[in-house]
Amino acid sequence: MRVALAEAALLVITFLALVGHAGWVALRARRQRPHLAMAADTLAAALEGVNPAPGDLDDLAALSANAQIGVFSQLATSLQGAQGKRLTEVAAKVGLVAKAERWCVSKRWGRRLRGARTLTMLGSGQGVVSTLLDDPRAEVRSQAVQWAADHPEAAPVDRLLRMLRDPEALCRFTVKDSLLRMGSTATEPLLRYVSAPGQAPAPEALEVAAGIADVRFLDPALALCGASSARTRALAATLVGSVGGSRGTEALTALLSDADPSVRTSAAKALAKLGHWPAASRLAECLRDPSWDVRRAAAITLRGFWPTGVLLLRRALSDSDRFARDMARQVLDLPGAGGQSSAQSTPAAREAEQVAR
Amino acid sequence: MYFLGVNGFYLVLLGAAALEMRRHRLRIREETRWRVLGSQVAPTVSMLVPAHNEGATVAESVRALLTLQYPRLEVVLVNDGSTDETLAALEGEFGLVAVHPIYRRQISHEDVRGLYRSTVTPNLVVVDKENGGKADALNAALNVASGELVCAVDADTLIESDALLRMARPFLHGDDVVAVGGTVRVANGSQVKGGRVRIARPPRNALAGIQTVEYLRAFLFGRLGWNRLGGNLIISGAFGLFRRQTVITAGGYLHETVGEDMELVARLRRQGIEQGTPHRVEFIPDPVAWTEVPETLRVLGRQRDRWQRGLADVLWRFRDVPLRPRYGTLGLVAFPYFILVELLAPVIEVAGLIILGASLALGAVNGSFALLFFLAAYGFGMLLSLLTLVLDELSFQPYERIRDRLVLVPWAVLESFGYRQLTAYWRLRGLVKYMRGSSDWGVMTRAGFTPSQDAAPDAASQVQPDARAADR
Repeated sequence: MRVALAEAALLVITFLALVGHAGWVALRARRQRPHLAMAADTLAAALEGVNPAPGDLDDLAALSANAQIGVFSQLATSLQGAQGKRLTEVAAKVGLVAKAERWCVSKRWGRRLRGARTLTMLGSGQGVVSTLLDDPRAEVRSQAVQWAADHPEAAPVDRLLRMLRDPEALCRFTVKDSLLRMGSTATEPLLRYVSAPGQAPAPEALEVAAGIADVRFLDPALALCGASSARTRALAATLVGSVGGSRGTEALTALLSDADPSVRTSAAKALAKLGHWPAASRLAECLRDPSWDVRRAAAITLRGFWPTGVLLLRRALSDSDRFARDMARQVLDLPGAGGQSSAQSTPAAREAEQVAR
Repeated sequence: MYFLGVNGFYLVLLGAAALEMRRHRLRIREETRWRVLGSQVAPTVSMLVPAHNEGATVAESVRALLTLQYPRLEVVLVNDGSTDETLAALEGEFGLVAVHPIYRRQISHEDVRGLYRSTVTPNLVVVDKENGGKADALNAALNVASGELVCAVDADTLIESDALLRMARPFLHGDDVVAVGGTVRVANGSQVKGGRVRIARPPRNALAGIQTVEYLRAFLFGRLGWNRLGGNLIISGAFGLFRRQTVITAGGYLHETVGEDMELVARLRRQGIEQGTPHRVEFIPDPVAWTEVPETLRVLGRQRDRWQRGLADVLWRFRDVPLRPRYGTLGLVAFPYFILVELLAPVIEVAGLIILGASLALGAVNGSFALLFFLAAYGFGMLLSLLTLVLDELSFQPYERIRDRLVLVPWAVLESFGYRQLTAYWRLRGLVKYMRGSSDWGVMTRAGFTPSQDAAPDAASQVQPDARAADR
C-alpha cells in the first residue's frame, strides 16, 4: 500500500513539475516581451549613433543574462566594423562583457564555454579568452580558437598552428576552419610552419595551405613531395596542384610513379586542376594502374585534356589491359566527352561495371 | 525479481539520460551553427533516399532535401524498381540527364538500369535500378555516393532544415564516431508544408497520441541513456548519419533481415571492437526528423509484429556477443538488456497477466495484493512516461502552446490501460512468427497528413522494406 501511495505522490509531483515549468516559461515570456522590444529599440538607436539614455541602459541591464545574450546575438552576427564596436560598447555598459569574462574563469566548463561564446559574439574579451586556448575541455578550446580567428593580435597564428596537433578532432577542425577564414593573415606563419626543418607539418596544415593557395607554398610543398609519409606526399601533391608552376607539374608527373596509390591519385587530380596536358601520355599509362582510384582519376583527368586526352582515351579502348579499356569506356560514355550518352547502360558499360567490382 | 530488476535499470537509464541531456544542453547553448554552414572543411554529406512507388510525393521530398542547411550536400535517390511514375516525376521536376556510372561497386546490389544527374541541381543523383528492397537500394546508393558521411533517410521522412548541421556535430567532436542518430518525432497532427513541419502540434488521434509519448520515451530516455552507458544499438532507419567508408568496409546493409538498421549498427560496433577500429555510436536528443505513425490498430499491430521479428533476428545473428567481456558494455549490458527486456518482456508480461488471472480465479493469490502489484507496475510505467515529458519540457519544448505540451499527459496515463497490453500481444505474435520463420514485411497503410497540409503520402502504398518505418 505504501509503495502505491509513494508512486501516486511521485506522479502528482511530476505532473505539477511539468505544469509548473510550462506555466513559468509562458509567464516569463509574456513578462519579458515588452522589455525585449524596448531593449531591441535601444540597441538599434545605439547603432545609429544615438547615445542610449541611462534609464534605457538600466532596463537593458535589468534583463536576465539569457535575454541579454538573445538580444545582442540577434544583431551581432550581422555587424562588423564601427557598428560592431558600438554594440560591444553597449554590452560593456550594461555589464554583459564583465559577466561573460567572469564566466570565462569559472570552474565549471559549461560556464567557461558560455563566456567564450558570448565574448566571441560580442568581439570582446581580449585579456581572457586567449587563456582558454589551453583549457582542459575541447569544447572550450575550440570556442577560443574561433575567437582567436577574429583577434589575431591577441592570439598569434603560430599558437593556432600548434593546435593542429590537438588530440581532439573538434579542435583540429576548428583550427583548420579558422585558418582558412583568416586567409592571407595566416599565410606567413603557415609558410614558416610548413617550411620548418625537422618535424613534418601536421597534415591539416597542408590542407589549409592548399585552401589558401599562395604561390609561396610551392617550395615547401615540393620538398614535402619526398616525405616518408604517404599521406604527407599525397597532401603535398594536392598543395602543388593548387599552386601550380612548371616545377610543380614536373614533380606531379614524377609522383604518378609513387609507390602509394593515394599519392598517385592526388597527383593525377592535381594535374587535372592545373590542366597540364603534356602529362597526358604519362596519365594514359596510369589507366593500367592496379588501383581503381588511380585509374579513375587518370581517366577523368585525361577527359579534361580535350582533345589530346580524349584521343588517348579512345586509343585505350583497344588496350591489351581490360581494366584500362573499361575505365576509358566509362569515362568516354559520360555526356560531353565525345562518347555516346544514353539512358540505358551499353554492353561495354555493363561490362565495365562488372570489372569495377 | 524481474519486475524490480527491469524497473531498477529503467531508473538507471533515466538518470543517465538526464545527465546526458544536461551535458548536451551545455554544449549547444548559444552555439553558432552557421560556422559549420560556411565551412570549407565540413565533411561532405550524401543523403541516401530509397524510393519505391513514391511518384506522388517524391519530387516534394527531394526538393525538401535539397534545401537542407548544409554546405556540402549531395542527394542520391534510388528508384528501386518503381512501377509508377517515380522516375518520370523526377525527370520532369529536376531535368535529369543520363550519365554512366563511374563508381566502384564495393557492395553488391541488383542491377542498375541507369544513372542520372540533375541539370537544375547538379548535387542530385538518381539511380534507377531493379527492385531489391530497401537494404539493396541503400547499398546501391552507398556505392554511388561521394560524401564522407551518408545519411540514410526514408523518402517520406520530414527533416528539420538544420538537422544535418546538428547531426554532423558528433563527427566533428570525435574521429572514432561511426554513426549518429537523432530524435524522430511524431508528425501526426502537425502542420506540414513543403516537406517540413511548419507548426508542431500533438496528434488528435488517441493511438497516435500514445505513440508520441512512446517515441519520446524511447528516444529521450532510452537512447539518450544508452548514449551515456555506451550501449547504443539502434539508429532510426528513418534518419541516421554514418561514416560511408566504415559502412562500406562492414559490407553495407544486410538484405535478409527485417531489422536492417539495428543489424548494421550492431555489426559496425562488433567489427570495430573485434578489429580495434572506431565504433562509437552517438545519439543526439535534438529533434531532427518527423514521421507519421499508424492511426489504426491493424496497421500498428503489423508494425510492432515486424519490429519484434527484426529485433529477434538481430539478436539471434549476434548471439555470440552477450556476456562476452571482450565486447565491454555492448556484451555485458546492452545485449543482455535487449534480450531480457526488449525481446522477452512481452512473453513475461503476457504470461504474468495470464498467471495472475488464473491465480485470482483459483484463489491462489490475494486479490488486494494483486491489485496493488498491478497498480505499482503500471504506475511506475506512467511515472517514467511523465518524467520523460518533464525531460522534454526542460529541454526542447517542441510544441509552442502550453496546452499542446500538456495534452500528452493523458496519453501517458492511458497508455497503461489497454495499449500496453495490446503491444505486448503484438510483440509476442511477432516473436512466434519469427520462430516459425516468417520474414514478410506486410502492408503499411498511412493516413497521410491532413488535406490542408501538403506532402500527403500516397495512402495504402506497399511499403518496400519498411521504408516509412518509424522507430522502435
